[in-house]
Amino acid sequence: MSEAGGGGRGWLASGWQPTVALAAAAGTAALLLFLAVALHRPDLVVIAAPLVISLVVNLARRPGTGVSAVLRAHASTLLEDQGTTLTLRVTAPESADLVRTTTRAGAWMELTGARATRCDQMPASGPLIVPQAARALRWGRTRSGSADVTVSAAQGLFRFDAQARSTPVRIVPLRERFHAIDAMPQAAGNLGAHRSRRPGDGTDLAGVRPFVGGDRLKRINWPVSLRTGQLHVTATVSDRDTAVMIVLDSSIDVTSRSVTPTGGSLDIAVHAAASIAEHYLHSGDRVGLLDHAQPLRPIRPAAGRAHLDRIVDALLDVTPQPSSGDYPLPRVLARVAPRAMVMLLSPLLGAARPQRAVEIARAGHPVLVIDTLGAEAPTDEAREWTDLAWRLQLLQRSADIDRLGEHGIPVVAWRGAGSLDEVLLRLSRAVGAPRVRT
Amino acid sequence: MTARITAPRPALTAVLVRLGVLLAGLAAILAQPQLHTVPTAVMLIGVVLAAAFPARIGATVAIAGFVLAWTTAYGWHVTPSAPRTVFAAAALYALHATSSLAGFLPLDARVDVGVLRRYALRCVPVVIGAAVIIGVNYAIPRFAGSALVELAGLVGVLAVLGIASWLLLRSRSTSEPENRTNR
Repeated sequence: MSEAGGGGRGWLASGWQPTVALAAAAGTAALLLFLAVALHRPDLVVIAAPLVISLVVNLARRPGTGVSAVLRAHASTLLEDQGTTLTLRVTAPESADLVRTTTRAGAWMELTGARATRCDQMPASGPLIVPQAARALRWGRTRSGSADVTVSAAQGLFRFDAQARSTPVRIVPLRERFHAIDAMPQAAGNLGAHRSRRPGDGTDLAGVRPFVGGDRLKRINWPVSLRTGQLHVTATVSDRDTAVMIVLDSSIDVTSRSVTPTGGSLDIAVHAAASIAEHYLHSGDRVGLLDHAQPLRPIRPAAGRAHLDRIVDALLDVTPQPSSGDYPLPRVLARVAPRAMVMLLSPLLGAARPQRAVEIARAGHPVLVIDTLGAEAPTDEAREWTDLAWRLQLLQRSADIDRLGEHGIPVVAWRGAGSLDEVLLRLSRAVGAPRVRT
Repeated sequence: MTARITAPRPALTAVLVRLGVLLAGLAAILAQPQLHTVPTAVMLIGVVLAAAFPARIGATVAIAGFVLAWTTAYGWHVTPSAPRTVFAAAALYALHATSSLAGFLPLDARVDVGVLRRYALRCVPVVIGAAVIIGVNYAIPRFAGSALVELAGLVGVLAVLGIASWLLLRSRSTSEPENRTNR
């Protein structure tokens, strides 16, 4: 086959090829006619007659123009579990006997509905349109599918094979309805949704205190002032925004992929990252993203709806890959988000050891480790020692989590909405508490 | 990445076409005046292969077995009866046509009934043309002995072979370069 459509939107075409039926019919007809002459057997001419006429009629009817096939998905961006329709458009000579199409789903896609293989006749005019329902299974960047097209002509004496590839499609991870309290251990900036520990112009009540020079008159609390005979003002704490840096540990993906395409540790991490980013960006905070495996391509903290799209787009490229060696993660964080709250999403297993969290905490960032292991065990290779090895890994993991606790780094399993509240509150209190350097 | 794999049920239309292959093959076998072991076995294997794997050479094997069986059954210079010959010719053409169609119809495909209708309609000119040739073929012996008729018969056979060869050569020479430039 040769590339005929050009670029990524084309199709591969073979040209009209003779089939086995053509060779069989031509060979048999020639043999029968030869034997008829050689053996003086007119009955052999009778037997050969339909084959010879079929050859002559169908060879004269052989189509001259080629076949083209284009497969398109109705939507170029899908949510997980969202359905779409793949439309295969086949242009072939009207004289073709039949058009056989086999549509295949791309990675992370699934065909639904009718049979994937169909045999249709070409319509009297215009191209043949073959719709096929499909569904997105898992987040990622993929192609929605491909289609094999075989056109038969001249009563099966010729065939034309073509392959159509669809345009790329983005499958966006579904964001859970996640919310968290507004307590943040480290707030920055002058405006925002989080209550800071500092007094200032905000909305949350800090207390009532005597009036001092410089206080705004509109802050005077008249009921208290009249009761005490001295001017008092209502004090508030300033509202602050914060920067949240999501660090994704993609060095390992614990999953039993043969059982289900989703549900692995990386899958949980990506969903959690998208949910967290959406929540904090919706609150007016700044959110950044750093893929552990690609530390040199961080997304700096920023705010806004467009930034959420940027983060989600970056999450689509996350694949399990080993970390790119020893690199100063705290230094990267210090450069892109100096005072950010770091949320490290990691299964805390094997290659994804928790040493990184300790390094980040030592650099002065409040760190919250979100455990993304989930309940699923890697059951792909159920061998004699698999279960024992898995239990050993879990024991090591448990020890690592305890060690993180000793460093004051909380670890919380991702459970969706509200799962971070208690830990965030504890972190806020811990940052406010007096520190003792040892 | 694994899609849910479900084994679809065979499509009725595709099964019926393969049944047609089987019936045409059996008719071709039964058209033989005598059933010799080797040619019949070759035909039977070919017919079963043609029904099971129509895109392969099963039909070719069956047709080759038929030619072998038919030529050996009557010996040299013996002309079988006209009805049996016409029946054999029809069975052979049906085997060729149905196996050609079955080769493009997978068992799990959804087949539009219009495909079968169009395919059957396109067999009509072939049948009419073959009927004319067969009629002429059986009419020629009445004029046997005429040098003109024998010359015309020879020229006719050569003309048919020549046209078929020319069409074959033309299709081979124009098939690939023309179609690979479609955009």
